[in-house]
Amino acid sequence: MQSSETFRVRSWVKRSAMVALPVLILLCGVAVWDYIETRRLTREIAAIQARGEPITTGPMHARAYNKADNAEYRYSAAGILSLANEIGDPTVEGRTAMSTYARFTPVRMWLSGSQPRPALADTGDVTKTLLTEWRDIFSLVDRAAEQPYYGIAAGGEYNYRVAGLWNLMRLLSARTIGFSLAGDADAAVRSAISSIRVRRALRPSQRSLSVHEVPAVLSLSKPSEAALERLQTALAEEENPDGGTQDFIDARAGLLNDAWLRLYRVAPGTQLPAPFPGELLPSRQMRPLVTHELVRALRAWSEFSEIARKPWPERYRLGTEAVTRYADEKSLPGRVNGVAIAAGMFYQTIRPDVLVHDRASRIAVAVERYRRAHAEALPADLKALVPQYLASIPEDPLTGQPLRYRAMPDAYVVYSVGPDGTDDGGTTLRPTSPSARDTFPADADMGIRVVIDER
Amino acid sequence: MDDEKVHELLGRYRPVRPPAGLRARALADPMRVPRSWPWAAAAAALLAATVGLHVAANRAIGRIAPPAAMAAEEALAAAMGGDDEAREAAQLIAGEKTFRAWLSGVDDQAWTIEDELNAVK
Repeated sequence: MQSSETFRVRSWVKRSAMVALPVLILLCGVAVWDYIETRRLTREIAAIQARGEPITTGPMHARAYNKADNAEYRYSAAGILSLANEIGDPTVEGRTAMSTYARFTPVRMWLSGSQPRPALADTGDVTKTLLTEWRDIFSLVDRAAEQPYYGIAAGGEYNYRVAGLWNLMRLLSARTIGFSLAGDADAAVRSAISSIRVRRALRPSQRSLSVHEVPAVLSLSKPSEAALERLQTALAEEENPDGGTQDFIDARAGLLNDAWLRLYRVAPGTQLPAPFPGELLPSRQMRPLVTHELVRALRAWSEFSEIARKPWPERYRLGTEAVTRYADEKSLPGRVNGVAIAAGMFYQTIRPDVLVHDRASRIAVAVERYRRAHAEALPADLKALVPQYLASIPEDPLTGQPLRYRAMPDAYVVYSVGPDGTDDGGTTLRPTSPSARDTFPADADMGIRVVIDER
Repeated sequence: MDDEKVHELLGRYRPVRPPAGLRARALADPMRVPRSWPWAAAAAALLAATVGLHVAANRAIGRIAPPAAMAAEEALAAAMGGDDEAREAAQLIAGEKTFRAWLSGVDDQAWTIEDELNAVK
């Protein structure tokens, strides 16, 4: 009797084991793969840390929060207020940040040389309304402009925050042009400086708008010498040729921060992922698959980071080559392509247009100061500005040569030759933020234009 | 039917002998018949290897995935005054954010200005 019972138990054990074995072989195989991928990830992370680069956003958050005088607080508050302050009926023209900004778009287009001079009759009323209805926001932003900035703060909804900052940039742009048109030159300069400084709250790779209105100020008003000097100093202080590189490295820290939480389920307070190996079961979210993709992205990120540390213009040349090389990277169907994300962010980081715009603006202010001292005469070339108005002529990040300058009967241009490397005389300038709707030719130069007979 | 008929009927039949192999089977080593332990041992070894590797991988991740969220939480507490009450509030805020992020699966940190533009278009 006992022997029969033992026989049945053993038979059951054997049958169960035979059924379980294929499943366990599969699970164990995935666990081996997971372990190998995790070791690869560990090595990548160790390499990042060995270079002294961040793998979490924690230090950045701590830096932003632990400073009471951080301009970030006021930028955040003003941005949120601007979103909440879409005054009254948003369909009424001139009552939202966007519609207010749009009222001055013809002026911007005219100054860039892409449209004829618009009628400017009602801009004074628009400016008055703007100053009244957005008073609190301007007050916050202007005070923030005088404070140091320690980086983006933690928490909050990043997308709403960026939307708020966009509103601020539009409002400041409208205000600067409004003051310039009204002839209040020094107020226009103060507004332009506020506008230049608000960009600190945006990551360098996201500064795709021409947010400071130096061409408007110089074309439409006549600031004092002291105001021009302040503007030139602000431009020099905010110019950051390596901001994009740091931004790219910080963006990777953000990605990893998110990976710990979402992919590896490392929750605050518990530094180990969940113990049950559900992530080893075959699925699209299977951990070794995800880790493999993350390691691929991190390797691309490291290669891009190396390039991003090279000096201009090598950075741009090597960067565009690398992005092209990675353009055909494939990933598994239906999965996020981490390498494509890295390449996309990298391309944003090595874009030279914002740097060109900053430097060209700084040169234009120096030209303006030269005109003051020389009975409104334009300098024959940029060398005439050195050393009295400029310590040296800023370089074109696309060529490594000094930026170009050309005087015309009604305007002058300060420009880069653009991505095609050909000097087209600055006759057609690409906007700082080209979009699909722009009709500028791809080979256009890049820079700013100052009208000289409108003041 | 009387007793004689019964005896006669029984006399027609004789019990058959057991099958020839029955004795050998009955006397064979009972341990050799089911032989389940190699299967069970293999399954146990695989299970142990799976769990072991998983734990090792988790520990490796634990070593490289440090206190990101905690740092943010501490920074938030510092911004709110840095006292015990602020720390408690920051813990709640960070926890809620983590939970909401986990629920939604949306990566709002990676949302860029270009995304904003595309959304507007």
